[in-house]
Amino acid sequence: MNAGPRVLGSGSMPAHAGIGLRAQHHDALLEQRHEVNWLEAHSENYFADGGAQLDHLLKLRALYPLSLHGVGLSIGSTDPLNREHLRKLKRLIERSEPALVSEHLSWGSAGGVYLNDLLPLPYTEEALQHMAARVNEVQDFLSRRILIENVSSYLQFNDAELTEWDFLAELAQRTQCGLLIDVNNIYVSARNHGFDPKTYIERVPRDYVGELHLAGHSINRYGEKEILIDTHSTHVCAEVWQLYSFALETYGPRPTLIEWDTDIPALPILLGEAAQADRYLENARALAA
Amino acid sequence: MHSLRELQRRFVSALLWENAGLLTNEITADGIEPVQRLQIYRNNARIGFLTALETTFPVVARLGGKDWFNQTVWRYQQQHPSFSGDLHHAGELFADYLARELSGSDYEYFADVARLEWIHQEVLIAADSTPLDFSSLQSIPAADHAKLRFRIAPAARWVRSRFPLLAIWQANQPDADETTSVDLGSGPSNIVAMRRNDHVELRECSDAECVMLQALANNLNLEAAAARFARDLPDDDFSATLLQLAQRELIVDFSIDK
Repeated sequence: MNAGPRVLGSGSMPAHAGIGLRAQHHDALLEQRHEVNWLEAHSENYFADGGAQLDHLLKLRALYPLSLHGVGLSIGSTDPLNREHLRKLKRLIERSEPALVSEHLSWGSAGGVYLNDLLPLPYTEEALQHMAARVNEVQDFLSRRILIENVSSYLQFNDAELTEWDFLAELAQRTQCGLLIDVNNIYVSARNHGFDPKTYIERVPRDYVGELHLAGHSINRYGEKEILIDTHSTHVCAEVWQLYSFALETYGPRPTLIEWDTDIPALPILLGEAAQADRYLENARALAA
Repeated sequence: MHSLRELQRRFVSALLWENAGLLTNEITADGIEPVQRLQIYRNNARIGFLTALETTFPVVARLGGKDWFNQTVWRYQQQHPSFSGDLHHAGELFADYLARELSGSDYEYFADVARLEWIHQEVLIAADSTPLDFSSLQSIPAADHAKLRFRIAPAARWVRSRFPLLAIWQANQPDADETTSVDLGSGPSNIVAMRRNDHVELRECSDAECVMLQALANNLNLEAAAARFARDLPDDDFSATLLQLAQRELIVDFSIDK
């Protein structure tokens, strides 16, 4: 899918803060129009043929801009792309008309066995060629541009040939996909592997960045070493807010999602985090003016 | 360095079947053993799978207790790993697995509870439909009635058990009376699950309804369904049972053989 340039950017998604849509908040979001700029739904949660979950999503879509964020396509896998999964994703896109559709720079299955996790790729030329072919295949099937998100990682492969940021940048340039830059994931991986997170942000080409993610993480100790785990279970920490500020300086205002997937708090707490992100975005707009 | 395909195959094996040695030479240690780094991913994969099954099978989890459920689900995941990027499918074989694992034990009924919970989930996400308006059959000549095939509501399932399944399920709901006890020997039961107004209605049904539902689900026309019914339940009333399914809004469409 390299024929001609695509329109980059964030489509019709506003450069404001949104929140991840979780079933616990469906009713509250439907009963009253909240100060939510947009919602992001995990695609697989709405693959149903019918029923209340899907019905709620479509009703919410009438109230708020929507992004669909997949976690199960396993784009980086060497197995054939799962056509059934793609068909369901396409059907959901047709039903809900999202402004953005995203997936991950990862894989989750091999030999037909799924681990349903965001597993790390070795950053090699072989993996880059494979990933680029797969992103093209997905974009062709969906007839639209997708965003690819960097994941947190807890290991690195000895024979890596590229940094993650160069891998991402090259992937975007080869496929014209957009990039979803998860600031928390950069922070987590930087701490786990000892690189400068600002270098990562600077090396990602800004024109491809269509969305940002923010989330909380936890810290595990292994003897003298710490490993940060991307848990999406708590507030965004101060260091990640600072890195987010740097990302906005680098890329300009971008739609920004607050992700909170486990130990999900009451809606006002999520909205509070989104309001915080909006204050950063407002500053970035003022600086850009 | 292995090919990407081989690396991924080894990674899955390391996580799911604990063959970490297949991969440790590929991973940078940097102060933490590769085995420990892989363990982080194994935990993530286990927790994601476990959470999906806890959501689908809350009554089985409650009956068995947290430790039993965690260990059982891990063994199940190792034998029947997920085959989809959508974890909603992960529990599809869980009832059959429990039936094998618990055969001959006092806990055989867990398998039937799992079957009920699985159809409960299927019904929640099945396609929407509207009940058949039976007045639309008035235009069908009586001579053609034997050629009719009825379609059951997509959001309807049923399960048959030699245990009092509905009573077990009800006694293990979050708002149930903790003092309620269920006599497992109190007889068999048939349950039909159907979605109504965004929630799943569970109710007991007769053997006749189950046989009729199965005949229609097998896409038999009325002539063949009646023959099947007469064979299995010679003392029951075929027409009355069909009418009962219609009144319960379990039939949504029909076709007629050419």
